[in-house]
Amino acid sequence: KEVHATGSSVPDCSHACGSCSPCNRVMVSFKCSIPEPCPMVYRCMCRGNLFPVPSS
Amino acid sequence: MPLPCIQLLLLFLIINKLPSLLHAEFTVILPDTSSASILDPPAQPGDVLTWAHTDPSEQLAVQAIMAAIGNDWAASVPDVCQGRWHGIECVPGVDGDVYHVVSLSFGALSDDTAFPACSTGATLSPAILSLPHLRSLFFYRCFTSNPQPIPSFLGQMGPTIRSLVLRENGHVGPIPTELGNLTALRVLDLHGNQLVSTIPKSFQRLENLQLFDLSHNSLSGAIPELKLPKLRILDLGYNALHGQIPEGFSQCGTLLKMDLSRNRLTKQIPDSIGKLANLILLDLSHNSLMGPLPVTLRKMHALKALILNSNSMPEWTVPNEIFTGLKNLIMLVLSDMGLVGPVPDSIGYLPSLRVLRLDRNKLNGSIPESFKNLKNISELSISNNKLTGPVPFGKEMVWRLGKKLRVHNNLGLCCEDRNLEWYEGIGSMYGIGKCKGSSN
Repeated sequence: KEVHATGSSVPDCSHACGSCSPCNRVMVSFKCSIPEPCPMVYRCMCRGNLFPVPSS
Repeated sequence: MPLPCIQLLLLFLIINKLPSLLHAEFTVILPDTSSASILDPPAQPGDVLTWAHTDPSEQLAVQAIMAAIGNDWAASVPDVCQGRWHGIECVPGVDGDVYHVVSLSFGALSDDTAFPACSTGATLSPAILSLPHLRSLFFYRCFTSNPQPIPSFLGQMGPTIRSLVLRENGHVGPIPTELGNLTALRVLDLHGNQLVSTIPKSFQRLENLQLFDLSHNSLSGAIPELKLPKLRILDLGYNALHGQIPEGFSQCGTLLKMDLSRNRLTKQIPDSIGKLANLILLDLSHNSLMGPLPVTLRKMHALKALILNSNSMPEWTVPNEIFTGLKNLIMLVLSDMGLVGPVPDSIGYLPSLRVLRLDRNKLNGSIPESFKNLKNISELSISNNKLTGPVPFGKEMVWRLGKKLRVHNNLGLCCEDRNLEWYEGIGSMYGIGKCKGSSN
């Protein structure tokens, strides 16, 4: 039997850019045309390259 | 709370410095190094687990698997479940102090959601067997530069494995019979490899299977009798499978999609197919199936797409009532089947029909008047038949269909006087002459 963690947490990018370091968490906003706050996602970034975040 | 000036300046610099590095759909990138981000949730129950560590044997196994695939950097990750990357998932054990690896994924599904990449000499390490809690194993375009068989040791994975995806992975050779041991599998996807030989009979044991995709391989032999009571998606298209469609599939009452297209299936479609009351898509095109179609077809009330083209049903006349129950049918494709006789006028009463292809048959008689009822039709192809008589469609329908109305290469389709003037400007009506004796 396993304990199931519930909810979510802010992603930890420390090892999420493969062999590239340092790997830092950034927030990315998508283009949107309507005058509303744009949706945002987390990404990991290392030397200008974006990487997907680990599951959290 | 307004951002301090220095942060605004930083933001300005980042936006102006990085645009060439960004994906086109992104506009703004904000650094998020502070742990006091406004979006940080308050302390969670999960937070107490931050001191939990990966099971040591699983830690070694993950690092061995990663090294075999060409990701040596994982060897320097002190704890793979704490320092996760996109492509590994972990769950705490019952005592809460040990993490177990439950999911591993590899290959670039897209630029934006890339799992760990696979090097040219990548191999699948047997260390996978040291992950007893693994639920999902996913490889996409991973071993294509180093074609290898699917390792039979995968059949020894633990009873927890629910999803095995080896998609467009360059695998050669037969499917290992041992995969039939993975009785908890819900998803088995071996699409787009170069697998040969037959579908193992041992797959009969995969009673929990919901998605079964072996399409785009070179599998041969007969489709085995598989009574998979929870199956929802069956895709065996683009192989070289022989024999007839097994009756056993009618036991899969939960089936939503059945694609057996582009094989070498023969004989008739079994009557029992009518038991698939939830089926939405049935694609049996490009086989050697024979007529007649089972009359039980009309019981398949959920069906939205019926695609039977390029089978040989020579000299078979479509019974008028055969499709009458298909109230949700959106797509009906009966091209290139050697059909003879009149076009069933009941097709004109299918209320949801949008795509109708009856081209490349030997249908005769006229286009049924009932086709004027097809209010939702957006493609209608009846070219290359032996049809005669007037094209019954009104101006509105012909203009709406445009090039998607194909009536050319028939014996004697014609156009009545009253329509002649406005038919002339429409390319799809080119070559359709005036009906003889038409006067109104």
